[in-house]
Amino acid sequence: MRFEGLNKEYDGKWVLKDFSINIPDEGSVCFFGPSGCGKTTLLRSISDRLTKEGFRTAWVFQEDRLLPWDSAAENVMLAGATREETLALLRELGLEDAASKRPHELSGGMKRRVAIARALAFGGDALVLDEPLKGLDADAKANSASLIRRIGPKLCLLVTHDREEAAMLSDSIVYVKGPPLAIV
Amino acid sequence: MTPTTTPNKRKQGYTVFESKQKGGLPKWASTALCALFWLSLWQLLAISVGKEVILPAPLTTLNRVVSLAATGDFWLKCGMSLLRIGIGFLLAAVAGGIIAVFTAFVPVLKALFSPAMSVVKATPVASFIVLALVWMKSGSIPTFTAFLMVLPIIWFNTHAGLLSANGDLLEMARAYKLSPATIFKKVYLPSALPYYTAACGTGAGLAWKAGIAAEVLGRTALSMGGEIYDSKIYLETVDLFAWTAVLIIFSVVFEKLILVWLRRMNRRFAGGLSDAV
Repeated sequence: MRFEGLNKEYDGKWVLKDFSINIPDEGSVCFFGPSGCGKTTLLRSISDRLTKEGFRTAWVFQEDRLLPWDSAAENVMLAGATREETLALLRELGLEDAASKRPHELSGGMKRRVAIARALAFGGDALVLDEPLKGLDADAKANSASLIRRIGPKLCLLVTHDREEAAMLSDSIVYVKGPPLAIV
Repeated sequence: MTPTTTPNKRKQGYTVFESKQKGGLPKWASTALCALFWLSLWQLLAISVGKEVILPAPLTTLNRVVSLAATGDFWLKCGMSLLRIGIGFLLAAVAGGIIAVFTAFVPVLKALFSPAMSVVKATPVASFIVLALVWMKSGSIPTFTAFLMVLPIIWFNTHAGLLSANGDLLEMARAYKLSPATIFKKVYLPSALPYYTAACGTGAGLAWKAGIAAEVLGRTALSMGGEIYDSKIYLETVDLFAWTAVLIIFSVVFEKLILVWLRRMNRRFAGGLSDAV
């Protein structure tokens, strides 16, 4: 897939300026670069294009963005999964005891895994991950990465500045710098 | 006795503080002592004035309340006042909430309703009552007045609550293709509930005061306000104090009942996390 002429400006500052990139139809692509270089903006622009072309895109945002008034299971079921599917996903992520707990009762790492479970429950054609393993311990990182690779959609786009995360989740890495964003 | 403040629970990342009196009197005892202080002051003032027609003593007032409560007429008047004011409040709570939903999502409706609500909010209650005396029967005036007093409060607060919905959660909801109805139920409604409950709490007290004022000015038959008017006409100060005491009790009970109902709504739609009441 070819994405051409991506532009984005915030307060007179160009984050994306006539940016173009080729992305494979399948596999996991990581955009690797320092914080603030415009990786997330790129991810949003690509995701918007994908949505316009009819892709169903699941997101793991940089923040967990869980509904504070719903339990972990309800947050996952929001993405369309049945209760059984939800509980199976939570079990795979080591959250079987957290299903009925609300976000304020969970640790940062547990919330992160609930957000990952929600994205995996959505299914879809593409998975967009913004620093998905941030705040997880080594075991949880390995377990979550393995699950994403195993049951995630065929196309996976990832941004991170963590080499370990990039290595665990991607087939190919695109090194970027900015702003405005440029391929190194 | 050193009052201390200790964090007792965490909700949505905020620490909720609860006052606790360390090594002091239990709360009920300190409340009783405060009440005793003010009743004693009232008694002393009544003794020093020495005229029941100007300031009746607390015990005299209590006796009058008890004798009034023994009659069926008393309960009929209380019930009718409660019904009139309650209907006005409920209509405002429903209409204010519905209008807020429309104005929050349709800018042209916001432009249309905003000045009208501001005018209603700024107009003195007496003006509405006098106007209502011209327009309608005296039995409807308390309902109309309570409705008009509560409506802008509910609208302003609920509108603000809906607009305060978390942008990140809304983006998440759209990314996951949630239906507009689900987005409303899961994001907007829990965001607006603390504002709505706070407005209902304020509105309940206001509805009661405005409704009784309307009954007094409208000389509504079978009403608590009507009794207050009569006690003023016949200089029955003990009755005036007794009915006022009853009014305060009913106002408190009315507000508490509404808060209980709102807590139930809060638990149902926001898991108890939007607990503003």
